[in-house]
Amino acid sequence: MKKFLLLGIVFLFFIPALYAAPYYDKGSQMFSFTVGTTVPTFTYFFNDQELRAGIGEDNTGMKVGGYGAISYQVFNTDKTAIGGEIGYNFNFSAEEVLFTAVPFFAKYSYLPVQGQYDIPISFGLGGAYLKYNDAALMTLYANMQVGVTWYPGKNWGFGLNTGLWLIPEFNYIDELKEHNAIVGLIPVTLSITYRQ
Amino acid sequence: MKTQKHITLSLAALLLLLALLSACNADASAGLFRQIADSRAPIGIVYKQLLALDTSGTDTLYYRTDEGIYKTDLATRTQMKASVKGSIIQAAYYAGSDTVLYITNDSNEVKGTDNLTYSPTNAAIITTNDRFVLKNLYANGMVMLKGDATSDPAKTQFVLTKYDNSSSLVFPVLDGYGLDSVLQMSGREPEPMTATFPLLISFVNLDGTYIHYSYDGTTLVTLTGMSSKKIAAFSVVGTELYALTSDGEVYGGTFGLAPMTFMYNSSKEYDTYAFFYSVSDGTTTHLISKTRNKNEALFVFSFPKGSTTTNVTTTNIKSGYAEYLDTADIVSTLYLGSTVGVSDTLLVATNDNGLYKISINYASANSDSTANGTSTKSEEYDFTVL
Repeated sequence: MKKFLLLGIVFLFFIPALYAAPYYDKGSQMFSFTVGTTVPTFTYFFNDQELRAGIGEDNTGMKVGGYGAISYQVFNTDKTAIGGEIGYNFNFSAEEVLFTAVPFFAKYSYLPVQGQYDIPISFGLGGAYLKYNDAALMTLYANMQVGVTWYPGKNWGFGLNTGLWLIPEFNYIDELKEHNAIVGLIPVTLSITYRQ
Repeated sequence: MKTQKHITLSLAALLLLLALLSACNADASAGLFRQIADSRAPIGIVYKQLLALDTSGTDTLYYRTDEGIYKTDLATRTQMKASVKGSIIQAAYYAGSDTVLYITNDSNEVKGTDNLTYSPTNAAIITTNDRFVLKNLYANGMVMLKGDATSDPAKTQFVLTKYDNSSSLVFPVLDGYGLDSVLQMSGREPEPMTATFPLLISFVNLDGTYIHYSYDGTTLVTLTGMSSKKIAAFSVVGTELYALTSDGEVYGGTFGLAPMTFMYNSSKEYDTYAFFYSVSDGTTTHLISKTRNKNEALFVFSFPKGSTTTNVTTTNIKSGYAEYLDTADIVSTLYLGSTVGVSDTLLVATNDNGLYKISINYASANSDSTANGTSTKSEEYDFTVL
């Protein structure tokens, strides 16, 4: 019963917002600072068809880490924005060695709900520079994120975001090909956005 | 329309660039995510050296860590001597009767946990000036001394002697050469020198030319055929001597004779004192090795027993006795015993992943399966021979 009530409230809030007049215009801009954590979710090794899920030893081998980023987007329509983000992510391995990733990517956002509350659904595609122990590589990076941002005033907003990152590792050296893999991390971040 | 085309082209160019850059992991010892996935939590003990298992009373293992010298009877772990700043314990030897001898970085003496001290000397070497150095103490009680030669003070002299001067080996004066390594067989370091458990001593000059000696406690033999090779480890199987080089080549020869012949090139890299353990089932000899790469499987060289030719096959081993060691740095091993004709049992100490007991089955040592032997989990060892 409670679930239905909650769902009803969400629809009451969400549906009118969908049909409300757009808050943004083409050319509106958003600049965001983001901080939060990343939760290692899975690592899949293509050669062994081995899936390691979860945090820590005998799983992904990674602990919960941290992420910070800046992003800029400009609206190309009244409901979609394009831009980019660059960040810095770190996780310690079970061995307590630092893993770092610097993702930089083009970002496309769709904001079906906007105004005092924004609900951006974003897709990112780009690259990431990874470093761990004696390994370092530049690789592809993709993400999908959803969040909610509350604007108590006209310009400044506070957001909560989550999603999924996908980072593949493709080695072209024969000895390392068997270690080709893809990693998934779930970010949980807070953001401060300035819009105009 | 034009803008959209530009965006598409820019994205395509970006993705192409990234795809090209994705081949940058050239210096890695293993895949980046594989290294992370296989990482293990440090146990807090940094092993340096397994010294001996004293079975004269309650079985007691003596070992050295970065914090000092310890002993354990499995129920109690006791620090016998702490390694302190300015006087760090460099090496140790179990002398029996609950006494461990050790050397520190600030002294040319051998000290004991019984508070006795020893000053190894030799008439062939000038030990009274500041160029005299006690280079190392080995797990069999021998020490390497370096100083000016008494016969020609302008030249350097090396002497291998027992810590109490009870026996010694004076090397030829090798002008321009320095000591490279004094190797003992993996797991057999505490054994007295014999033809079964000899030493391999290497000197090197600035040109990278090596002089390798084998020494069984009586006879010093100069090995030939490897003067450009740095030896990382060796093993004696029956009457044959097998040497593993730092660049992954295996050479074989008859122990006690000079010639060493090339057998195999694995193109792998090994640190000096690498783990290199031999077992033989009567028809096949297996040389089990651990490369420099912590995340690399154990690597086994197999060939007909007694062979020193190139008929070598190799296998990567991650299962059985290698279940945990394939992602660990092996720093020291200690032979516990054998089930005759079946298997050997060893204690294997790692840098930061703890101590394991493994058993290696002779007949299937090169099988990457649980049939090749067993391994305990970290620190779950005991002293029972399997």
